Amino acid sequence: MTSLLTDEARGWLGAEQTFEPWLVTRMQIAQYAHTLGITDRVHLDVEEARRAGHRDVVAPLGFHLVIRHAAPNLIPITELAEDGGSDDMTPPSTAQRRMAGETTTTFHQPIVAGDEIRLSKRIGSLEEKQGRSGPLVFVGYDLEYRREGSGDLVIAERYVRILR
Amino acid sequence: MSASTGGTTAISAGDELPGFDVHPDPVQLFCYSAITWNPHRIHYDAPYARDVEGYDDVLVHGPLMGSWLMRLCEAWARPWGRVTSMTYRTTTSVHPGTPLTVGGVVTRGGDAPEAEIWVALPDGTRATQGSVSAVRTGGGDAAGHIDVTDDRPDGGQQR
Repeated sequence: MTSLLTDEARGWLGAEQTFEPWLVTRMQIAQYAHTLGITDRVHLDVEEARRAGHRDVVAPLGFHLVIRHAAPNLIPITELAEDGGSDDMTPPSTAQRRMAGETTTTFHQPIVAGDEIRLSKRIGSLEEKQGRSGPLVFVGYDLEYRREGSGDLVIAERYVRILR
Repeated sequence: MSASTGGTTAISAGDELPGFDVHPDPVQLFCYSAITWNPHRIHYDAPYARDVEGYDDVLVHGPLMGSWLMRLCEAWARPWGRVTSMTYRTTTSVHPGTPLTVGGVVTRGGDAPEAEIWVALPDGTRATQGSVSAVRTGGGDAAGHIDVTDDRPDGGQQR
């Protein structure tokens, strides 16, 4: 059976990366809400948010994707690939395509403007399977979003990337 | 959908989530690339998408499909509780200009309800599908905002 992964790539199991804390701002929350067509005022108006019991505007469910996708791309533009992408902890392989698999997200606490969120990422599984069209690699990432200061786990996520 | 605004309405299997239609266009894709700082050409460079990647046009971001599902689930749960977890996967490439329907249906009722969720193409094919779990919480004001205590300054500092 042919393999997409090198021996070196198999050593990536357990690899970890922690990003600099991400300061969540009212502006980012408003940009996200407007892009998604979300109109609830608790995401846009600090007084509304406070009346609802939050300490500042609260991010819509899903805002953590801003941090997840932006953090790995905060590198010099000259280091981006020709297609504009970045490696984002993808083990070296001869795969031609990189696809998104399943995402499972557990929500523990809301994200609020002013939070500093530290994203950490770990390759928790690395499996190669024989698919109909050839070998497939499933890279499982375990992500944790923690609030700086308290260290509270705000969101936990498992994301699978498929290489073929 | 169930008319659950006071925190007491029962959530039953078969109830529909408050679905909505979306019409992704280049402006929305631009805004999503911008806010997620995603420089990947596949979402804005049509000649690249066609000639190098072999698609008909640029692609709607997979995470944007997930973002719509999270908008759906938050709107569903906010009147009586909160979303605890979600699982989803996109299996079909979607191009801008394709009208999409974001929806779901409750598969388990009660105080810890579950629902099946999807983003569907005009022919009903589910480009993205998944599931959501939620939990009923105690509070809830007239606007449907739940009482949140764990994100106040003191709460945020506790270990």
